This record gives sequence, structure tokens and C-alpha cells, in this order.
Amino acid sequence: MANKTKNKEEKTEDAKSQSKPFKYAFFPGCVSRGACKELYASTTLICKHLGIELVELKRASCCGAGVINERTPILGDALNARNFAMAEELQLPVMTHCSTCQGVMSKSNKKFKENPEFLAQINEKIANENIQQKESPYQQASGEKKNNKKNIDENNAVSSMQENIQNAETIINNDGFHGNSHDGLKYKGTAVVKHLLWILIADYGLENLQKKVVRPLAGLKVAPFYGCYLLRPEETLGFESADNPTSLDKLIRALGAEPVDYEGKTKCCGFPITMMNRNASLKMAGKQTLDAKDNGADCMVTPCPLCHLNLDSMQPDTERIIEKRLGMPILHLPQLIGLALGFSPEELKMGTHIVATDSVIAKIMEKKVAAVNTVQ
Amino acid sequence: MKDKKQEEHKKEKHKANPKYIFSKPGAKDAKTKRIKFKIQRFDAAKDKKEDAVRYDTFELEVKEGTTLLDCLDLIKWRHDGSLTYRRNCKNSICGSCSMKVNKRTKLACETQVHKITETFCSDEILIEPMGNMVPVKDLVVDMGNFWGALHAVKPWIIHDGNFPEKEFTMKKEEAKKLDAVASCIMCGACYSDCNTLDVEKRFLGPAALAHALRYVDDPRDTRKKERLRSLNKPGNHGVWDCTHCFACIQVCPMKVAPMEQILKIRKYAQQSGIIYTSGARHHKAFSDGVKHAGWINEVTLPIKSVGLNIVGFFQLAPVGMRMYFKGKMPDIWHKPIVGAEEIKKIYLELEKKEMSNKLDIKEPELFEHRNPNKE
Ligand code: SF4
Ligand code: SF4
Ligand code: FES
Repeated sequence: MANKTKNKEEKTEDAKSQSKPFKYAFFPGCVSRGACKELYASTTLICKHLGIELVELKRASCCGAGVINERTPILGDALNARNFAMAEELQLPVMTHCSTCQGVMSKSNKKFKENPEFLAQINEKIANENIQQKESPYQQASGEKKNNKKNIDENNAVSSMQENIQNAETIINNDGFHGNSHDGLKYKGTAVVKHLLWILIADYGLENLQKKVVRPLAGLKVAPFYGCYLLRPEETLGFESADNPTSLDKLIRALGAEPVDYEGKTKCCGFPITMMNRNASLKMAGKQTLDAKDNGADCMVTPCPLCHLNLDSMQPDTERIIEKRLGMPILHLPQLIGLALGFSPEELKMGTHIVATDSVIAKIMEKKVAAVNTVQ
Repeated sequence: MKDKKQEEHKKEKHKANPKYIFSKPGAKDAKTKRIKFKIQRFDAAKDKKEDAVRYDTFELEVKEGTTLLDCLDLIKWRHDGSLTYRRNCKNSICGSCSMKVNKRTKLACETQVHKITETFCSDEILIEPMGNMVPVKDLVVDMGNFWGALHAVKPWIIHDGNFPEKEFTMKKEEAKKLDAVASCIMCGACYSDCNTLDVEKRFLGPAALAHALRYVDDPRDTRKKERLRSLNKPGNHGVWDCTHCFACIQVCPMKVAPMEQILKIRKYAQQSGIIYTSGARHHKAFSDGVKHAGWINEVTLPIKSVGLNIVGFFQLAPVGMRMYFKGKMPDIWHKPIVGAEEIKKIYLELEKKEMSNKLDIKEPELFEHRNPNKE
């Protein structure tokens, strides 16, 4: 007990000493703007509610998702250096909400931090590109806006994000500008990249999150699906033990739900080979889902939208391949949090899932603790 | 005194549920902890399958710094001589003592018991034989498939016969490229924990593919292109079956980083024009999407990846329909991100040069392999 209070004190002190409390350069990644828009909507929704300020890196490119980084690794690193440089200029740590983005960016960043020479060579390439950039028609059109209203623009972007938080698509279509001048863009090697899950645990603190829970998910059995990219290899990620991760379990417990222990939680969802060996890919998804189901899970939660695609969108095909009915609702991490914070399933866009989430909703609505209205 | 102790052990041994307690000599001031070892036993001679597998629990007083192999030896020598496992060097060099420790494959001789209990926050440790292989007895498995896969990649130098007049010479950098894989001790840990092998037994697996790269990279070998072609052929279950799960990188005791080697084979193949695989098509379509818009085009990506493959297309169509009706379909018009031109310029600067191997930048190695000769 004494320990607990001590921890709390430390956390609050930490929060105070942080010059910009809970403000991040948000890297949404491709999937949350394409096939998993519900992830974007729920991340922005819960972050606003928790007072975590996000400045979206709109000019950021795809991280390479391990694909570009494998076909042309140096090009992949260059794209990431450019993205890191933009966050560096904002002097904010980067927030991801996709394990794959996190894994790929952590890997690139480690290369840069350990090999200054390599970083210098890459910088040369991205700087070259920006000098030529001056002649681009886009630059001329937006240059005026950029030079005159740089700061205002940045602020606008943040506030417009907050206004539009309910309508994620609006933000995407907004041609907002973030990041300062990108002439001679250069990455100094200081960016920090963190996944939403890590931020909630290490920066925000689960005690603080718990205080905001108005609809404890009591009785709900949630199977944490850690997957690959957020854990392995420890050398590049290192947030927690790859052998025995606990972050998602702790978070699930903080929300009042019960984490389910099963072997498949640190295995692969199979997404990366969905195009190359469909059968093996779906068998993998099926095996892990069935494992969760056999251990009594009501739903699974994943910190990665690619896992979500293979576990949710492909589930009907998976059922056919493994010849077993699964019917396992798959939730994005911020959706599970959002439910506990009192948001409605509609706000969290849970209707867009391929596998119906009704059973989960019915289970938590039974134990309604506080009216949803009090939240807003 | 000693006799008395042995008597006690004997008494314990004959109890219905065997639980043995004893301590291992060690440094006087070392911390000790009572640890339960739950060990999977396997006896193929049993008639019924259900009887073949059982779990025995042994309790030991373990001093800090003791390895798992020390504990197994104690159990075998003092209490149950029938416990069967492989071991030899006790020095993480022979690669015989790999087994699953709390579901992760590790070398028993370099795994410290106290550290495991700390990582797993539990004083009970589950010991099982390696996965993806057929058990023979207790912790011993038949590694036939592992060796078979290795054999399949022809891990020897093939030369067309035009030998140099004197000896082969090799540049330092060339030789260095071979080092990582050369430090593999064939322990099978990567094979045991491989996620693809879990569901696709025909996959060649991490170690064999890493060795394949070693011969592709060897300047003395003259079959580079044939090797790459064979490793890329879909029916061969080579490099494109790897699901990029990092498990082999995580578990390899020698830090060979097999997955990184597999990715190199994929890269070499694409660089040398082996682009008819669905993997290469997918990578190109993905990369092109980012080149033109700054982010991926999820609508055309799967279609371009299956190529002119009718079966593949009909497998895709229902997925697309399903997602469309739930409003999950990405926008048909792929809107470029702000600043997409900047990204295109980076591509123009780097892509072609890198694909044709003409870039003057060298990618740093992230994983430093262990060198058994230097330890
Ligand atoms: S990365 Fe590939 S080879 Fe390595 S364990 Fe995973 S699937 Fe197997
Ligand atoms: S690559 Fe590593 S894990 Fe695999 S057999 Fe060789 S030493 Fe063992
Ligand atoms: S006994 Fe040789 S590696 Fe462990």
C-alpha cells in the first residue's frame, strides 16, 4: 500500500517536471486513414478526452511498413529520417498507434542513433530533395501561407483537430500544415518514438487513466494480442520483456476488465504473408484466435491495425480454413479504452468491424455504472 | 551427515507425487531461492497417446547464477536417471541443449534460472522440448526436418570449374558478410519458435535460409542467380513464406538474426530481376503507391499483388465487398498527402540507384552476431 502511494507521488512529480505535458507529434500511419478509419477516430477521441494533445504530422510519409524497408532499406530509412526531422522541429516526441509503424520506426531510429555517419549521408539525400523542392508548384502555392502564419497555423491545426475530433475524416482532408520550413530538412537524431500504449503506461500513468474510467469493464474477459512488432526484437524496442510482456494486461486491468492469458498472445497474426501464402496466414490468425477463445475470451484487443485486418476483416475466411466458428470480436486498443471512458460504440465506430461487437457491448452495458451523458 | 541427507532424499522420492528438495553447492553468500521445475516427459513406447506425455515437478533450492542445465543435471544424477535431454559443451557452443523454457526456446546451459523467475515473476518454470519438431524422448526431439531444410539449400560452395590459377582471394568486406551466419551453432532455437513453421511445415525455416544467404554472398560460389531463383520459387516455400515475426532474431543465442538474412535474399532477388513472385509484386505495388502519394494505396495494392491470378482475385473479391458494406473500404480515389512531391523526389534520388546497387551509402548492420571464437 505504502508503495502504491509512493509511486503515485513520483508520477505526478514526473508530470509536473515535464515541460510540455502530454503533447505529441501524432503519426497516424496509412492504415488508420484507409482501411481502419475507426482507429483514427477512436485514438483522437480518447486522447482529447484524456488531455493528451496531438499535433498531426500531416506531411509525414508512410514509414515503409517493413516493405519498402526490405526492398530498398536505405530509401525506407530516408523516408523515416524526413518524418523524424519534422517531429524534431516541433520538439515533440512522436506518437504512433500502430505496432508496425512503431517497430519499423524504432528500427530506423536505432540505426541513425548508432551510426551518425549513416545519418549524415541520409541527411544529404533528404536535404538535396528539399532544395529542389523550392521550384515545386505546390511550394509556391502554400509558401506564402507557410511563411506568414507559421505559428498561427500550427496552433490552428491543433485546435481544429480538437474541434473536429468527432469527425476524423475532416481532419485528414484538411490541408493543414505542420512542421516548420522544410528547406534543408535535417534530422539531428534526437526524435523519440512511442506507441500510444507505452505513452499511457509510462507517461500518462495507469493511475491517472483509471481516474477517468466511468464505465469499468467489469466481467469482460479481454485477450491481449501483443503480436510481433511491439515486442521483438528487444534490442530495438525494449519497452518491455519480449518473453513476458505485461503492458496490455496491466492496461486491461486498469480499465476494470480481466486479461486472459493464452499462448498465442505474443505470436504472429499472419498478416505479412497474406498475399504470399494465404493459407498459412489465415491458419496463423485462426490458431491465435481459437487459443484466445478456448481460454474464455469475450474479445481480443490489439495495438496494431494490421493485426486487426487479419484477425477481424479476414475472420470469415479464417473460419472456413480452420473449419471452426470463431465469432471473436476484435477491438482496437483505443476502442477498449474509449468504452471504459464512457464513449458510445457509435462514437468509437465499432459498427465498421466485420465481426459484430454486439456481444461485448451487451456485456458492458449490463453493468452500466455511469450514464454516458455525464462524460461529454 | 551426508548419508542422512541422502536418506531424506530417498524418502521424498518415494512419495506418490514426486517432489525432490535439495541444494546445489555454490558460493556461500549467493542468494538462494526455492524453484519448481515442471518438466514435460515423453515416452513414445506408451500405447496410448494420452499416456505418452506427462509432467513431473521437481523442487530445488537454487543459488543465484545457477544455469538451467546445472539444475537438470542435478535432477538426473541424484533423483531421476531416466530424465532425458541433450547437452554437451556447457558453453553455448555445441548447440545441443536447446529447449523451451516457459514457451521460449533457449539454451539450457546459458539460461540462468534466477533471471527466468525474475522475467516471469514466478518461481515455477515450465520446461518442454523444442517446437516444430517431433519429440523422441522427454526433452529430446528429432531434428530431421531442420537438417533436411538445411540440406535443401545446398550449404556448400558450388563452382562452375573455372578455378583461379592460385588460391581464391576474398576482400575483407566480402569475408565479413559471411561472418554472421558462420556463427550459427545449429541449435534449432529459431526453427522451434518460428511462427510460419507453426502452421506451414514445408517452410524451409530461418536457419536454413540464413545459410542460403551465406552461399549467395560467398564470392567463390558461381550459382548465385540459380540459388536466388530457387529460394524465391513459391512452391519451394522459401523466403516469401517468412511472416516477418522477428521470433528468430529474438531467440537466436548467437545473434545470427536469421530474419535479416531472409530479407536480404528477398532484396537481392528483386534487385536481380526475380519479380514474378506475389511477394515482389506486392512490394513493388506498395512502394509505387508511396512514391506517388506518400502513403499506401490499399485499394489497388491487393489487386496488383495477386497479378493475373484468377483464383487470387476471387479470393480477394469477397473481402473487398465485405469491407465496402461495413464502410471499411479505403477511399477509391487515393488522395496524395501534403508534400507528396518531396517524397517523390527522395524516391527519384534513391530508388533506382538502390535497386541497381549503385548507391554510395552502406546500410549499417543492426544486430551484431556473437563470435564464438572470441569468447
Ligand atoms: S521472422 Fe520469419 S523465419 Fe523468423 S521466426 Fe518469424 S516467420 Fe520464422
Ligand atoms: S540461427 Fe541461431 S537460433 Fe537458428 S540454429 Fe543458428 S544459432 Fe540456433
Ligand atoms: S550444452 Fe552446448 S550449447 Fe548448451
